[in-house]
Amino acid sequence: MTTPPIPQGPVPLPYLRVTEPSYAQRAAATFLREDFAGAVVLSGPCPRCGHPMEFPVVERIFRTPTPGASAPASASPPVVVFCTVEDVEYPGAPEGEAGCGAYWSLVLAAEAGT
Amino acid sequence: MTGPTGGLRAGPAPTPAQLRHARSVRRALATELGRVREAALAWRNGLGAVLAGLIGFSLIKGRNDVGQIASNWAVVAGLLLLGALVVGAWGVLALLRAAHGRPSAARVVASPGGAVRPFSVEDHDETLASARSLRIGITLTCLCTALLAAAVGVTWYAPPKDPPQLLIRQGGTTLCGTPTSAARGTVVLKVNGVTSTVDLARADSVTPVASCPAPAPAGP
Ligand SMILES: [Zn+2]
Repeated sequence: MTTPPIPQGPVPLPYLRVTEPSYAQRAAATFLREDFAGAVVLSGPCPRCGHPMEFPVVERIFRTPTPGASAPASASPPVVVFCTVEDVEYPGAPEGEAGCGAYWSLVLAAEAGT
Repeated sequence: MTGPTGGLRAGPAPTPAQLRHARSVRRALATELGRVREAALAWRNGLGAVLAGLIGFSLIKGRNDVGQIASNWAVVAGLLLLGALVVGAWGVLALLRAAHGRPSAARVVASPGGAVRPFSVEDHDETLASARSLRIGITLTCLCTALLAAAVGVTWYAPPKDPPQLLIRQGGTTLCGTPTSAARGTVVLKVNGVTSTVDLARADSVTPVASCPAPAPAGP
């Protein structure tokens, strides 16, 4: 499997709601995981557009839209992550939506290694 | 396949439904602090008004009534009222805490060996703490209302204080009972359900007492 080079340049990528196996692999390798009480913060470059992004994963939120929202840090189900870059305008992005549209999932191991 | 700090593995490609759910969670997360504040504000306004009215009512209304009930019941009513005030003040503080947050600055400098908590995490913690305060505040104000209702109920339904009694000594006999009427130097005493008229001019002493001494041994 080849991982295409991260495109970067003055013209941002068009918005595209897309996922590829390489996204998850690259994010698993490059993202930084920080554990806080009640929340895990994932940060790193978006594997599609390359811009830095931050993604908080929380155990529960105030009045969750559907029960069993995000996976707690200790559970094994994969966490769905998507590009949340805010300071870039992606051509074709829906109104009020941040990010380039890329999404993937990551599995948070029970304990962060060193 | 581990990241800079490890603990991350590539997961399977999410389904569109999973993505939709993740996006809605993220939207809810971005607005949760505003929503919890809004909810707390509404609760604070509503419960605050109810509480202020109830406390005012029981303070003004309760005072006259407490004096007319038996003293140990007056103590009960007072304790209930005190409890209601303490619980109510605590509840209002909790509601205010939920509606306006704790006036403290977020920590920006990393503690030695620890990372700076991002503001998104701070806000999330604040949301959960506020939601907790809101629940506590609602419970306490409801408890306060119940205590107030109990206190007012005691002032209404507690047995009335015993009426004052009159102890009259006349020669070697002693009469003690509730005065029912008095006219022209005589007083009508009700002693154990039997009324008797006493001529005060012949009385040696007339003493008002809170309660009569134990009935004297039978026999004149
Ligand atoms: Zn992106």
